[in-house]
Amino acid sequence: MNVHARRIAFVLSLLLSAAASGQRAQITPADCQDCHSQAATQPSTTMGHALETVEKSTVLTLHPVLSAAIGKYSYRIVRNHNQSLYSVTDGSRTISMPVRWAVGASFAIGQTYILEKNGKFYESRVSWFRELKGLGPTLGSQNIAPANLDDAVGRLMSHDDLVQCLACHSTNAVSRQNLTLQTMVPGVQCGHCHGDLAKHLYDQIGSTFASQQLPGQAFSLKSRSAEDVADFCGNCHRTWAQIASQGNPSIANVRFQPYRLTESQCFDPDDPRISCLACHDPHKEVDSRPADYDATCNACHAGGKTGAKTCRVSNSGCVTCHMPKLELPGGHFRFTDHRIRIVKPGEPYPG
Amino acid sequence: MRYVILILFSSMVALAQTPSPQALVQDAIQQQRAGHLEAAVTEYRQFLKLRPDATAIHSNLGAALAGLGRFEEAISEYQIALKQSPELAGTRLNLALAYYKMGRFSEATPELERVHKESPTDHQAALLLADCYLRMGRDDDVIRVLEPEEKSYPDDLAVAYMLGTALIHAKRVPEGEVLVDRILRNGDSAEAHLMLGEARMNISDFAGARAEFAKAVALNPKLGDAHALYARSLMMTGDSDLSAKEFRAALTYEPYNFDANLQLGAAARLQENYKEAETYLLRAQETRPDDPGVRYQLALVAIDQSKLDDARRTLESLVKQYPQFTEAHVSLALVYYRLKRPDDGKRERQIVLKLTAEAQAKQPGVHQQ
Repeated sequence: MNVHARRIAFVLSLLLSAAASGQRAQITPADCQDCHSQAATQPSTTMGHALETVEKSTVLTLHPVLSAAIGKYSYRIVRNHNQSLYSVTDGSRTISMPVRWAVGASFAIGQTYILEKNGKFYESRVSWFRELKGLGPTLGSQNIAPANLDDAVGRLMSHDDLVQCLACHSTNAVSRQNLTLQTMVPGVQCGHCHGDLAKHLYDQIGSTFASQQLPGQAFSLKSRSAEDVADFCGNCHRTWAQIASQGNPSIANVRFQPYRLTESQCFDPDDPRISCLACHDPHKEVDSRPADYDATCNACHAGGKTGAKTCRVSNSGCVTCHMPKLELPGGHFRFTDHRIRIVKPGEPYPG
Repeated sequence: MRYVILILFSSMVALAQTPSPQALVQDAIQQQRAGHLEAAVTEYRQFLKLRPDATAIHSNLGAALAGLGRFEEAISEYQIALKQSPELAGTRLNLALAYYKMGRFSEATPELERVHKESPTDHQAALLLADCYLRMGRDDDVIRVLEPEEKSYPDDLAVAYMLGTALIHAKRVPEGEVLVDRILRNGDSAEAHLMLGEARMNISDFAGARAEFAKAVALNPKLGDAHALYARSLMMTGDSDLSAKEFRAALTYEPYNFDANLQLGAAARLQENYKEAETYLLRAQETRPDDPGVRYQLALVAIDQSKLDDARRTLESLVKQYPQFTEAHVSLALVYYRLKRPDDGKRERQIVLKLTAEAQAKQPGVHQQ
């Protein structure tokens, strides 16, 4: 069977099984690799691991026993075959719950666990942080003492919490605010950003690619303005509108890059040279070498844009001065502040 | 409770010049009595083409339209009838009820005040008037209207509930508590759980409120407001699925429940059901035409559908009227950027930053630098 025939057979089986189950088809990056090389690299990125099943959790596999004592409570996450059990004790009583998923920036920064017991989901009160090489209080709970042992386990997640969490950390887990766990693909995979892949594949049989023309469907962001891309990425990484509406500017928003970027003096909503994609290829792991970003800065600041000043100090390593790394309290990570600016010594954090 | 008053003017019908109008109106009345309201409406309208000054038929037509939930049309008919005969207390009560059912309490109130003044012993009119006052936060007026009612109807839980609530709001807690105790002593009543639920909502104990409201709707599933309050507590505890179900239940009993229409509209927008969102939101807007929350949600629906000029117009008028409405400025900034008006967008962003800084400075424990 040639490649085209194989694809037709695949698409038909996919559509038939989806129709039979009444759900959307489950498509993984492996199904996209034949045509798109990006699908080969993207799954291994931190975004690709934004949610891991307990069976495939990198951190829990590498650390079969994790433990921490926080206040009067002791926590343990113990691996048994491909499962992990999360326990907390106050010395007299112990509560245990199985880990269902690990969510976060995985091995790059840290991850929090979603526990499941009796059909209810809980956000673990402790998380794994790479900087700590172990467990610490989950971001947001570090200054709040649990009221009792039940509270010390974690936070009971409502339906809306789960929708919000899984909509960003996984693919096809949410459709129109409803959970569709049957079709969930762990992590941020092709379908998360590129829309209705089943339709795209179906179109591909006839080589029409009609679905690429539909708004919100399989599309490319390359030609979009900086504002559009910031809004698109900001759906999960937070847009300016989302954060500005909350009205509590503080260092806590340093991790919301699209919001920070659009606050920059040099942000031009119409100029793709300042879009998220000008620096980041979402199909590859984020580049940690400052010099690699110089070309993007110099596209405007080396005479390429009217009014964009040239730096009197240096024309390399721009981000090291103009995008300082800042510690997020409780996050155990120094985030790059995407609000590009001339940083003055001793200035307060510009929220 | 049914307030619909069917006014029969057989004498007037007898005076009809031709048998045709008489037959029409007699049949219309029979249709209305039999519950065939659509047919009754058609015949009343046919009759009114022949006799547009038939006051009673305008009133009857209003009642039939109200029975069909077509309150806006009903209001027009009642108004025509009352213009012709202002002394028709029953029609005025029906007009007030139509406003009430649409959640237009400020318009229902003057009509009810007049009915109450002319018929001070009309218990239903007094209850409705008190309810309107309560919903508008006019606690002193609730007390003024209901204190005499409470003496005449000491076992009426609705009176105890509204008067007790108003007394507590007005800081007359000991007197209010007497009435609350009466409700609670009366056994497991929906009113008691509503009262307890609202008290818990006021101290942000949403889980506690949720439990109380659940009991209230179980005891009296026909209380639209109870469903809406239950739905709100479910929303606050993060269960939007159940919340939507309860808001829909509220609309079964009160199609113009403002909160239910607003929240269901907002939820439908999030689910990208824009047509449904507009239906709910426009109905909410019928109830409160100037409500900034509804106008804002309608603007968001327009943004999501890329109707940017519509959204801009709504948001510009909103921020002009409510300059402190931060979210409206945020959305307006977004719209300006999408309309390729970055300078206007930047200006809106500056306003947002200023409003945010002002709000933050007012928070307790914040020191200005």
